[in-house]
Amino acid sequence: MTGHADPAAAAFERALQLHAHDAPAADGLVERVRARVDRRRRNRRWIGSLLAAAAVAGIVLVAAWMAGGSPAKRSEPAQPPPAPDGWKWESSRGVEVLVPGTWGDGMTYGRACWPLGSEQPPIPGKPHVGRATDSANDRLICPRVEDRVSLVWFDDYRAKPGIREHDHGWVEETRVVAGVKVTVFTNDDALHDKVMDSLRPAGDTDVYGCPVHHPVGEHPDTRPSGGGLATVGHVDAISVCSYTSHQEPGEDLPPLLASSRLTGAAAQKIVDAILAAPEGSGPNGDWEDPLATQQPASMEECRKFMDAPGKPNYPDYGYQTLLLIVHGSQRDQQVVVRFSGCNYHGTDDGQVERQLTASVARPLLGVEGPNYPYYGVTTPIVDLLVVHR
Amino acid sequence: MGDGDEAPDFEAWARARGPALLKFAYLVTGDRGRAEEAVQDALVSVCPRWRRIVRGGNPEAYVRRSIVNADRALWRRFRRRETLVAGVPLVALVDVADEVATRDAAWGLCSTLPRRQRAAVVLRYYEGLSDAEIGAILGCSPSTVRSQIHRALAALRQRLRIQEEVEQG
Repeated sequence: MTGHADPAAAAFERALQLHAHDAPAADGLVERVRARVDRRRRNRRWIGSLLAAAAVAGIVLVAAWMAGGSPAKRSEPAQPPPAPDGWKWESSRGVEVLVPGTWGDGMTYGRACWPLGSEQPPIPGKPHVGRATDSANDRLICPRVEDRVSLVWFDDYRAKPGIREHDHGWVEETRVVAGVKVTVFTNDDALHDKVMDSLRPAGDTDVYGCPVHHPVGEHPDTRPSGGGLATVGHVDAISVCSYTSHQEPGEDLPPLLASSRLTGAAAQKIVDAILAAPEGSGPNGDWEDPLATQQPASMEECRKFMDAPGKPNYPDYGYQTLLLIVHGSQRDQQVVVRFSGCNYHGTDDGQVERQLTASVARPLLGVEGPNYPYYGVTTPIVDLLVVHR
Repeated sequence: MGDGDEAPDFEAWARARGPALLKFAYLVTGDRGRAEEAVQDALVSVCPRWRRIVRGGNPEAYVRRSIVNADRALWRRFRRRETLVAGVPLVALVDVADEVATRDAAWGLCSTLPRRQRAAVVLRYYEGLSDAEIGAILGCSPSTVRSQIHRALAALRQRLRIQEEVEQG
């Protein structure tokens, strides 16, 4: 490469040449790739066996249903195990833990401080629970002690298990439970012990009644079975289960990312809002957003961006899908809520696909809850969620 | 590693191109860990389809595109703290030599560019590729490449002007 007359171009060239020397070495790269490819092939063989077994089980279920059984009978709503006063359960990736009831979500309250050297002032943080998304970047431990907040982080991918002692009494501990790294960071010994003592595998279904494995995690186009939402009767409770298709490199964790539970009037209101929404899917259509800098400005651009190597298997559906398990007085009904891809936004109870409306989206995906859209959404969904733009 | 007879080809190619891919990934991500992951992810992704990708004629472009796309963070506008991108501390540049300050300003600016624009800058000023070659890797037109690089240069020039004003008091 020759030198550039343009000082700016020359500066880019010199900077890039200099920093290229800091790149990681390629030692062992091919071996690590080989190990991952082999592991993936083993998993596929295992999944193939599982699917074959599931196909046999499905035949049995269909036969039972044709004989008069129902695939979505009424069940008693799952009752979360009691939490001590002022505490709540949080669940992700097949593990669950108690945290103080006042804690917020990491996506809303995390990243509370600016890097050293920044001209920006620190933003007050709040103790929070963080989840997988960009864990390495988003889980930020503030260098200034006055900016630090306690946190629990699920699937703390880059952390090494063990205890790390920081200054001013702050301690960071990472434990592995059921293959999931969970980190607790706090300067409160009693809080640390209580949180860590509560950490446990969720089993097949977590505290809020969400299966830790569900097909919508990998296949967000999955349609629910059953007779639809209109005939469930009075709504007793809803388990709100958030699934992701994303895995960090080398991980094979359950797809359940977050969960919560609605009861009483709040649960009924969600069902009423879903049933009142227009049929079809949406809002999807083309949109124009001249201010868009980090998200696509049109569906075409969205699809082009998503339908590429390294992106999700279903570009139109994105990385994250909600599953509502509605417990009605007549029977249960599952509802899939799609919002994180380029297209097909809306709810699907297996009988009718309906559009996503603000009355449905805000209580389910709002910033205060754990089922936040962790992987981003397109402008039409932003318009639903943001009250004042 | 791959199926049948393509396995040695893929491994040999990955061994030969690994260092260059890691440098590219590091310059695009600015993070050693993310660079390693991006390259690993890209190679794991192409391995089972290696024969078809080679038949397509440009495996290097395919892998580089995978690396650029490896950042799974999609659109963060809705995230309330999305604007929390580290600014370049101009003040810190005042007391160092011009050459180093200019180079650091360029690297600092790179860290603030969107991923694809940063990749375009790296492919132009580190790899020395043409607009058409960059467009083939990034999946966009040469005019888009030109526009992205033009904007990056303009931003750096502005940053250097501000820096000069700060130095002159």
